[in-house]
Amino acid sequence: MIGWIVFRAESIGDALTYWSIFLFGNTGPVSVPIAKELTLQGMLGLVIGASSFVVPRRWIVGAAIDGLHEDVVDTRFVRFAPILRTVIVCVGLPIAIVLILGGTFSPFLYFQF
Amino acid sequence: MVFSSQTFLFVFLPVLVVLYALTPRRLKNSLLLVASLLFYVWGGGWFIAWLLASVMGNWVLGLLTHRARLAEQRSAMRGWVALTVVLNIGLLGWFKYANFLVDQVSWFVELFGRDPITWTPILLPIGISFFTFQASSYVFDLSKGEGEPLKNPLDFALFVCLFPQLIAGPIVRYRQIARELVDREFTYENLCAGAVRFAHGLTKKVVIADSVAPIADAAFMPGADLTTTDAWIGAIAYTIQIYFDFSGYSDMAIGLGRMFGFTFPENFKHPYSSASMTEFWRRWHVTLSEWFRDYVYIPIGGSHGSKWLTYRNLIFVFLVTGFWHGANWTFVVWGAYHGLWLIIDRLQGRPERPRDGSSRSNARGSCCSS
Repeated sequence: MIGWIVFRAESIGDALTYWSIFLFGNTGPVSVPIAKELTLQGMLGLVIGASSFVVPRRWIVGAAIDGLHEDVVDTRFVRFAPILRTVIVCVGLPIAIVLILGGTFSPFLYFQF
Repeated sequence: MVFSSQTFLFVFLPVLVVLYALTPRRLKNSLLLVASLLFYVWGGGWFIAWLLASVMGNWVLGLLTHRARLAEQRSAMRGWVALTVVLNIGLLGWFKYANFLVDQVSWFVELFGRDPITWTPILLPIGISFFTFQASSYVFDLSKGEGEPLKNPLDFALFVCLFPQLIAGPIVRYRQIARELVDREFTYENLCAGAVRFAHGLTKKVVIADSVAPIADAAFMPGADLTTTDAWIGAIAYTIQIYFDFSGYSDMAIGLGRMFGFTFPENFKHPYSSASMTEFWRRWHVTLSEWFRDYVYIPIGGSHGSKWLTYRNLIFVFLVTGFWHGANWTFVVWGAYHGLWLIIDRLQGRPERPRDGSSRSNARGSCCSS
């Protein structure tokens, strides 16, 4: 995360300020501008997204969903791959389409590069 | 045009799939090329002229390089490769770094009380960092005798402009899809598997990355009055956003490629499960790491010299990698930070492979391990 802070910051000065708060800032509660963005959708995104670095690597299921069996650590997940794919198509995709139709569209980050 | 836009999802893609299925095999490449150029023009407009200039230039240089290689004219071949480097870096440098250079010079002359340089900022053609790398790798590979040149410029144009990977990768190497460019199958199985992969990527992008993006944006807004709690939440949000956004895009690109019969290389291999920075760079943006390994790190000596030369090469390649991401000192610092971690990994004798042997497919070296 230390690296991503400077990657995301607009300038070196902004990165230094962010780092100083990140490491040595005042330990107050969540401020209003951030709390405003911590909606149910945002919180769910954080929880699901955090699984990419919180859960043990043996439990990572992304490779199983994509059929990359050689990259799956725990081969038990391979058995569930068809179910996981069905969940993606029947749950993930419809939610994504509803969000797109709702207008919550933003460009890809790597387009700026 | 963007994969997660309504125009792409509900018009461009369905129409293209139907037309592709109905088109005779010999015309499929032409259809894909026209669709790819339309895809680019939609967002890139007249910048397509630079894309096409890059395509033609690299195609001709590929032929000249191959001819010189066959005739064993080593100096001529080196000359054509050098010209390839100059033209591609020149194109990238002009569009991506000219504004930055002028800003730095202006800042410097202002220190001595002079007026800053008057300059109309140059707009950045979308995808230029990716298509220049992909097109130039074709010439570099031909110079090493890897593959035969494409005689038909339209096939080469399709290799560079193929819409799933044109804007943001994966950076596909010519040898990886050389056969599929001229002979591939359009099957129901590939169509379905590609569609599922696309759906997976779209879900990652829209449901996860876009959901946490407002949190990261609020935290990183310049001048924001943050607490440490805010800063941690913002950093976690951005860490999630950049991975799910970019790996989601790669999944969509790989899925779209598969729908039309292409097998693109994997770009992300659950990088956040890495046990070291060295391992992270074998899993994060794999096609870019491999590009820099093969065309920058190894040519400047790689890890074949003393350990100090290896450290120098590592720092250099990561400074360049950082600068590739954008004309801003923040990216240079980011690259240096990663390069230093790779050196620390080496100093600590970190294992080249994960201890649990979890990643057989990642065992091949990257610039972090070769």
